[in-house]
Amino acid sequence: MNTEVTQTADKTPAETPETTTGGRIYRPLTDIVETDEGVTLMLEMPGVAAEDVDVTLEKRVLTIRGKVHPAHPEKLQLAYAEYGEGDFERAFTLSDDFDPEKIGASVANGVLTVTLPRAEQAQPKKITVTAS
Amino acid sequence: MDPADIEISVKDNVLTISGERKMPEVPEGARWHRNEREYGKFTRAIRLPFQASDDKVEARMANGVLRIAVGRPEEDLPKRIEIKAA
Repeated sequence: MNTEVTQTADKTPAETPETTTGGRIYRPLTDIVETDEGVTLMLEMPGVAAEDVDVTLEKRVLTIRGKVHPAHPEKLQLAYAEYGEGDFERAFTLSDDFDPEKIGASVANGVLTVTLPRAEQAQPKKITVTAS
Repeated sequence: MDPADIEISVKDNVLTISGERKMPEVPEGARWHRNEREYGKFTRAIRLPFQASDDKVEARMANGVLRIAVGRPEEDLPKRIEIKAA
């Protein structure tokens, strides 16, 4: 049996101002891929339901927030905790050529996928070269 | 991750959770700008303070958070002793 243990990355606090309630805000781990149509972001936000996600684009800044409803099971007392529960927040500065109307977002199994298609005119036009 | 990629088992007093975090499917020719999330197989075993029977273990996954409830078997619960009149 393989006994090697790889430690996963710890949750990093987000670089945002403190909350008044003392609740923690984490920076979601993000994968970003660029395709021919645009850019896709995949953010890890465990515990966040689709209705608790807030995606805004304002002056080129894409802000993503996810709210976690802390679980306090009745009749149970916390004996051990290493999973920090808190909201998620992260912002990205984008280039100008994204259409805010066409931004799509979906949540599946705690992963938020944001698709940002590039604006029409910004899509590279293919120029066919004809042999003379 | 997908609940179908997670395996949970109990044997005696050890609860084992294992699975695999799979890479997301991206279209061919896609360029990666950032890759902060981690992928691969994982396993973790937790020793419970009592022997668990599998019919008292319940696992639920909601929004990517797995919650496992392990019930203490009847025979392990403290027994009330009646005091008899002398």
